[in-house]
Amino acid sequence: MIRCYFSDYHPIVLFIYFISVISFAIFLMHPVCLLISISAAISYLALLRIKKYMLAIFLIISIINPLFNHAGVTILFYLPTGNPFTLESLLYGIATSFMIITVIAWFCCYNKVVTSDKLLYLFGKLLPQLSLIISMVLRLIPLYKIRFNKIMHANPSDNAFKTAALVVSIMVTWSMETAIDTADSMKARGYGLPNRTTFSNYKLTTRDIVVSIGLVVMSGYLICSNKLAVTYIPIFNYTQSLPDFIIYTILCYTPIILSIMEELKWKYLISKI
Amino acid sequence: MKKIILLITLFLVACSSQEEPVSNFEVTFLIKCDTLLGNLDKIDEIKHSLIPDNGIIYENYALEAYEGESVFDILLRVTRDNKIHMEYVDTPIYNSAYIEGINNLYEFDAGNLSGWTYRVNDVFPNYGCSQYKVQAGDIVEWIYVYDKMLF
Amino acid sequence: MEVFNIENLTFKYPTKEKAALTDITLQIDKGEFILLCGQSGCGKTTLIKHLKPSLTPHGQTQGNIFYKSTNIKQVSTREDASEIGYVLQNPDNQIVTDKVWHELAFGLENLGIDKQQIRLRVAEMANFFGIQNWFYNDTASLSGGQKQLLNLASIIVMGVEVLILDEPTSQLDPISAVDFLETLKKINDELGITIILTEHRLEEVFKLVDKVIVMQDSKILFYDTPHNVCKNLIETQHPMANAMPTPARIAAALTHEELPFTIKSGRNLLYKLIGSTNILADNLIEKPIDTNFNILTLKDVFFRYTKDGNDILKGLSINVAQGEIYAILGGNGTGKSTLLNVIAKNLRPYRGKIKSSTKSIALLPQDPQVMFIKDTVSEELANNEISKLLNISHLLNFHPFDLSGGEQQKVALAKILLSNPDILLLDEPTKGLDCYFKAELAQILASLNKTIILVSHDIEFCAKYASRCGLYFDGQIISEGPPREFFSNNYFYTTSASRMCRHIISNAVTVKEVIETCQNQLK
Repeated sequence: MIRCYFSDYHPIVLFIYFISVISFAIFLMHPVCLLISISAAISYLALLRIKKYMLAIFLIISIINPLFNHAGVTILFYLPTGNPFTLESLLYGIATSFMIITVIAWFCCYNKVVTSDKLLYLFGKLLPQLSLIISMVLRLIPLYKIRFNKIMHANPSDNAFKTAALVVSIMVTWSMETAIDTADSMKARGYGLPNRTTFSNYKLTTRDIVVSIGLVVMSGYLICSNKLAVTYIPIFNYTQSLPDFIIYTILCYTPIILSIMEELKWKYLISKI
Repeated sequence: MKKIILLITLFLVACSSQEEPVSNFEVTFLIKCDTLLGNLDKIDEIKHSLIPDNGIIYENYALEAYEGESVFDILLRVTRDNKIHMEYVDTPIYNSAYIEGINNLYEFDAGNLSGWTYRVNDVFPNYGCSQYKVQAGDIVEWIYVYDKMLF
Repeated sequence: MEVFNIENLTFKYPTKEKAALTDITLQIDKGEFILLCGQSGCGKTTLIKHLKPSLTPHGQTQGNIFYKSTNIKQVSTREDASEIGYVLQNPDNQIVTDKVWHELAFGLENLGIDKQQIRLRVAEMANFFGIQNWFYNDTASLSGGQKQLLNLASIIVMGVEVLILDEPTSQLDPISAVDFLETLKKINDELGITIILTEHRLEEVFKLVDKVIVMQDSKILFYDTPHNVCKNLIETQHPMANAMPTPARIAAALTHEELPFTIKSGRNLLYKLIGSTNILADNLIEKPIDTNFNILTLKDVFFRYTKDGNDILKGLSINVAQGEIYAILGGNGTGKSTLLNVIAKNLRPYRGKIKSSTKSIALLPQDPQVMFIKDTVSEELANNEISKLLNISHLLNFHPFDLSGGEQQKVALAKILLSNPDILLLDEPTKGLDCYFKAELAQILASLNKTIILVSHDIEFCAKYASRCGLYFDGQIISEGPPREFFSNNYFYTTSASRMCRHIISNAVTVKEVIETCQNQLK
């Protein structure tokens, strides 16, 4: 397995990447584009753990669309309602479900790569106070989860309703009590002094700039050239352009390409040593 | 086993009870969208190929019809027999079917007031197509109009 | 040069009749490592909060405090934050952010330090404290010891000159606690930071500090070197003498020489006194436990939380006799609490048998707070007689959350005793308690006449009060026996007294036993 070197890039690069692949995944419904995007997303997930629910989404949307959308020139058969079941509508359903699965897969990648602190860094500059609050909330969620379980264990009861009320009451009191400590700890470390700065671990380096420009140029090209049009309904019709396909492939596979390049570089370095 | 026999018997009874229509006659039946020919700019380019050159999707001047058939019944039969696309919905308030699209030309395709309407013997009946029973010699026309208000 | 100069400080909380601090006068010199101890409620926390202006409680104050010869009231908020560090008791509550690196940077961000400077300082601190390996982790994923270390580091990183700590190890297990205290020593030695520490693990702290302050009833009783304080406490038979380091207590009873604080110097003293012969003290025979009347039996119990998870309990077997106090000792986070929950039937084992002759089993959880639902202690206890038994009648009108840790523990214990259980399960009952509360708790437990199973890190407590001890490791009880037999068989996991007299007196495990055996020998 190759290590994901892409996640080491500056958050801004990651953000540009995911913005473009996710929006292209939604708007480029061309069958070839769908295949490029989904293959990239799944190989990037690298887990190939296609969840069962993904398959279910695929089947449900593929079938549901033609059941309710009857447009399309190729009538396959008639439904009990009297309306036609058309090939184009089925294709459109399949394409839509592909698109949705692709977007879900991209979001899975996004979740793995753009962690909460990276996101906070990106938006922290706009709203420094908010980003601190989010960071504090993210700290409290696991803490409260543990406390919740402790309280549940300490107060076993058959009455679920009663237990819930009890747990909420204890949680609130306990949390308010501990919040005093947290407030003291913040005060003791000078929270509230004027001219607060925001620290981050990230440094924008040359390679980040290069990759960002690359991503923006590729996305820009695809938007401007607009050669990859497709219609499913009522007539299945599409245009194609090899350069656009290639560029889209490179765009989607950027993290994998970068990781492989890095891996090769290491191999090369080792062989030299 | 008994149940299956019972089912088969019921099925046969059901089939045999569907009596042959008492009488049949001929009508003229047309589906046309010639109003669009002069207004192609109003419709999405992808749908241009769906509009026949003469604007007539279907024509039959001696279509066999049966006693008690409505305009909708004939439309449904004709589109199915000729593999012409047609989509409708039942509108219970008017106790009639409402035609949304024929040959993938849908209402609103040529503007907010566009859609399918029908006329019989040059008259636009102001009630649902499932309610209108055809009679011998009727001229039934389904017309795509880009502005229902004009008619 | 002194950092703090306190002159005739008297302080009273608005709601209380009695003064919390009475006429305190003391100087603390730069670079000193000071221990502040005393029974809980004696005013330790109030005193150290006066040294940190932003945390000073409101109330009636008389007298003056000078910080580096300026009146502490004139110290700016910025100075307060950047020069005087304060670590609280609970490791969880002080952590503000979700990432370790962000927590380290939090104070520097507040001071408005620029990014480049923060990067450097954070990096330095991470290296100094060995945090670099978990630098990017979520704060929630850290152990208690790591959390407290992070709290410490995120204060030191601000460049403080004084560090004030309020019972920082009370929520930690013994190993993390010793690590933490040794880190404090390192900070004091290598960075020259003045440290003022309140602590009840006196056994480990006495050997580290330069000076000890003992407080009693809002006043300063002693302020001297650890040696002199220890000697004074033992000679005056002060209750806190029981919390003094074991070697010192043993030595004080036997000689008039300099008191040893470490096991090593204690052993040297014993060698000198009674030679290196291995004595088997025959007067120390334990009365055997009658295991024929088992109230609870676990046989080959297996438990795991999830289907794919690892086994937490791996074929654990245990017999508990009617009326005994069975102590389960073992490392941190290995499943001792899980075991109690299995016995309490909160969790179901997937294999194995649990037989008990009673259904009435009650569990006292580690955090007593989880049990408090009502606004006052009396509502909590439904005004029951039990409050007299546990000596908490004076607390009835308080909100449970306003009590000290030891008092909360007692109220929680009283609450579960309301159902009059036959078997009492206690999860770390001595956590965060000072020597007074421990002694009181032991007395209460003995007076209950119930079967008690407790899990604990507290070796000294178990050695003194348990009827049997079991060593829990890797999901099993791997050895068990009456305390003397149990601890004298252990090499490392045993009491300080036992470690001190290993190979000298082979079966003494408490201070009292060592002293008596030595005295017999010296006759």
